[in-house]
Amino acid sequence: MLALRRPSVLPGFGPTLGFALLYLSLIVLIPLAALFFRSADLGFDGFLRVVSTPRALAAFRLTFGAALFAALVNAFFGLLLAWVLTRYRFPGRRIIDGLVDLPFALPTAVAGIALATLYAPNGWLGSLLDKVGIKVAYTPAGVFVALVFISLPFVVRTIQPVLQDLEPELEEASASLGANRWQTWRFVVFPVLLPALLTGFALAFARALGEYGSVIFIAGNLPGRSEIVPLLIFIQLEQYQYAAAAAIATVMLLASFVLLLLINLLQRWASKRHGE
Amino acid sequence: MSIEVRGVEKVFGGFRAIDGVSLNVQEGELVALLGPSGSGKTTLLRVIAGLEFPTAGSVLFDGEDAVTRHVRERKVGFVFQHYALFKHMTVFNNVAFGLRVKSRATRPSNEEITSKVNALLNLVQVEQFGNRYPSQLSGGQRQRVALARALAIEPRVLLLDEPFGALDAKVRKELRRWLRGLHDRMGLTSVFVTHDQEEAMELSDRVAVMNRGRIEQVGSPTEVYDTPATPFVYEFLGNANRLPCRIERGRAYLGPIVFTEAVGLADGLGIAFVRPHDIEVTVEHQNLSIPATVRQVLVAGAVAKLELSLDTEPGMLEVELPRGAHWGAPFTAGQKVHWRARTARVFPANAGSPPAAPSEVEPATLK
Amino acid sequence: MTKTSSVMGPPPPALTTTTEPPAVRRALILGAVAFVALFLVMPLAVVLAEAFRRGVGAYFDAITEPYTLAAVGLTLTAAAIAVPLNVIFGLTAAWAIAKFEFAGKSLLITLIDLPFSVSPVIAGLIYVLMFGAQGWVGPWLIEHDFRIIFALPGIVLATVFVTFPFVARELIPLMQDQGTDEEEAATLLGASGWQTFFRVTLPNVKWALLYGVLLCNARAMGEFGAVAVVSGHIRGVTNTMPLHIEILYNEYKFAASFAVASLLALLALVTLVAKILLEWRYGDELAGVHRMPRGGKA
Repeated sequence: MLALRRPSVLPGFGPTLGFALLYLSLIVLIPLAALFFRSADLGFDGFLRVVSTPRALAAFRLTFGAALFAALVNAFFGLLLAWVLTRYRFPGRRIIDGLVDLPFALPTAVAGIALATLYAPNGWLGSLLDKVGIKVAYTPAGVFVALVFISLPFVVRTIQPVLQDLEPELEEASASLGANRWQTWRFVVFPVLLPALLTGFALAFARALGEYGSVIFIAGNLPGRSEIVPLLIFIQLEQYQYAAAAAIATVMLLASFVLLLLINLLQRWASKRHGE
Repeated sequence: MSIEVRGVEKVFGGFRAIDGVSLNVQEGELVALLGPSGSGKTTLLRVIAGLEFPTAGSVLFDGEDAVTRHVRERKVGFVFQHYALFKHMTVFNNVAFGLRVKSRATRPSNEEITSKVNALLNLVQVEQFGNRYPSQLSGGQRQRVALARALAIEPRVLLLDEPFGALDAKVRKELRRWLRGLHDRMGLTSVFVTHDQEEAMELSDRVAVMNRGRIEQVGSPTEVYDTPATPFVYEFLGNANRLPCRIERGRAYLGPIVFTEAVGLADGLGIAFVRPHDIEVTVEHQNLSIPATVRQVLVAGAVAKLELSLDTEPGMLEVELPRGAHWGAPFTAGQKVHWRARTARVFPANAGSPPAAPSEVEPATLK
Repeated sequence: MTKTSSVMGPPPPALTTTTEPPAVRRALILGAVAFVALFLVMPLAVVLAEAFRRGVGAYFDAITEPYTLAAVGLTLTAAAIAVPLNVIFGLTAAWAIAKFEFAGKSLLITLIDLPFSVSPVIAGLIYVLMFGAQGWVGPWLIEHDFRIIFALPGIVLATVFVTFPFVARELIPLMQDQGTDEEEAATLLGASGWQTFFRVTLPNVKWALLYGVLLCNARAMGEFGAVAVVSGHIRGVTNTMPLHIEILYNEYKFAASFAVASLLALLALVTLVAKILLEWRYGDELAGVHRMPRGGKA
């Protein structure tokens, strides 16, 4: 250990690092390892069988599809929101800016019953949509709506600081070189924002993949149609199908790890771009 | 108290920040560690303070090995480059900190602390700012508060890391004189780090010039300026013209002309260093003078700067004349002239190490 | 931040060459406001409207009902254990990471963030696999009559997991930015390790710590998925507020469900306001990761 760290006059390195590692191992690492071991009980063939049942495949399709679609919608509106909030001054701007964090702060169960009530056929929005023949609550569309809600802050909050730091001189230089506003935006501003936009998109996607609480109230939870993966894991667990639950969870966890790696790479790329 | 640094080495990863340094600082002396960034001067100061542990070698305070004492008990006053004032404490509380953290047995009473802190604030002339926070002070004031805080623990030595580095030029000059005066009154053994040769010259009793983790020369300011031990020291301490020359039998030749003495040097190629203000320029040929052509004339304040190209050799020469000398009969571009070095210093061509690359980062600031 | 010129007025002269035409600006603002109204304001409004649908009396009946009070008590208890644990972890991890140089540091930082990318249901599942009747140490626990799953310890564990990174990730970048100069200065002035920590380090990070505690607490009290897996939904015993909301909702007691939900919504709003106040008043003393210009973190 001594060779691996630079000596310092400040005390407490051993105890603090030791405690942090112990706590991290007990709370996070060992339990996660237990999950991998439990899914290994099935053997490779058993594992494949469990995660490729029609019900599981439908759940994967729905979860990944709705999460991707929700992250895309949030990439677009998140960029718009971040732009409007940092660039324009208008009444209510600061309230909206504060509200953006609501999905972080509002418990998912509360969001779930609120969205379900809002989009139910007799709800404020559901009744309007019902008239034009669109059903949201208790359909896959409901899953999508819930995921948009909970992953909304990510893109806004990753783009905002970059946008605030963007030197006005860049845009002035572009304008002085004869670019029109759209060209300036497309060729000068957007490329600077792109790494943050992709990072925010990946964060939103990762969050949406694992979401449970806000979705189950609005989704209807029909197996094979509007049942998301986290719910399927829960149901397997309640039926004491521990290995099956662990196997499906393993797939989700691997997806999370891949995303986490991707996000780290994106952030490294972003900070390299900004010369930090 | 005297400080003795004995054969200290410090290696970070694979990088030798200090490569075998020995240095003696006498009781009451004010010594400057002067060098470019990356030369290891801050690391050496931190080793003396006990903030870094040397890879090899030792540091002795009054002959006693300081490594055996924890930093807390070394009684070293240290002024950080960016002051490291406690942001959340008032000026008064910053200065009182070292007194208040003493164990109950040795801690002065509240009244004693108050009177001592006030005396220190008076000493550094910030007595009216006791209730302010560091962020409400100017750079020079923060600098003095940092000094008062270091002095509060009655240190046996005072160490200052680039004490004026973060200040603007005018404040820097004032504070420099003030600090010299303070040192003369208190007589505290002090070492400070700087990359500014003017600062080192003006403030210190002795200068240790550092390069690439080694000390190239130690001496009084006039000593190191007048008789630099290595090409590096020569170039670092002021502007210098580098002239490739030939050494034969104790004399340096520039082309066919004997240029200056080079006593004691082996025959072969050499480099002669001449300071721009040590050059005489005349229209007529004189003994030992060399023909050249004026390329450019710039008058800047009190000096006139000439750029000469040598007639017999490739290369340019920078000359600084007092404005008065230039005034009577001004030189003009294109004019044929003769020049002669009042003094010059010759080194064998392969002597000494080149200066550290400027892009190297001071290792102590690497996180 | 404090500029309040209206969008309807002429743009400030400095911006004329580098902003959009007024019509475009108005359309963009309108689009953003509509999106926020649809996805953020409406759900919040619906919670309050539904909570008071049966009148104020019914609302107070619902939130003073014994099972509700038991749920509130359990939620407060779980948070009161989980949040301090994560504060201790956050402080120790941040001290080791920010004040020392050692191999594997960036891996450790990544691992600390790991729980954020794990689904809450999986967070619950891993503890069932560890401590449940079929789990690794479950049988031993049953033998010794110590319950973790379907009991308070499980709820606390799940809560600790999902709120694991909050405090640490507020403190680490800030303490890294602050460096070690002040701590070294304190040590040179004779302070001991604890004196340095309590008198120098802690005051320098107190607002960031409070910020992290606020977010950690909001998430701890609101966590649903992870806690649902380990709780067993025993009313009055292992039912937290979010779980109680679910039960009431599934029993078609909508008004009561929304009444309890309104308490959590209020907590969320208080958290948001406190967060904004902290950012506004002490922005410089928080880590450079939120709305401040880009700091140490991308």
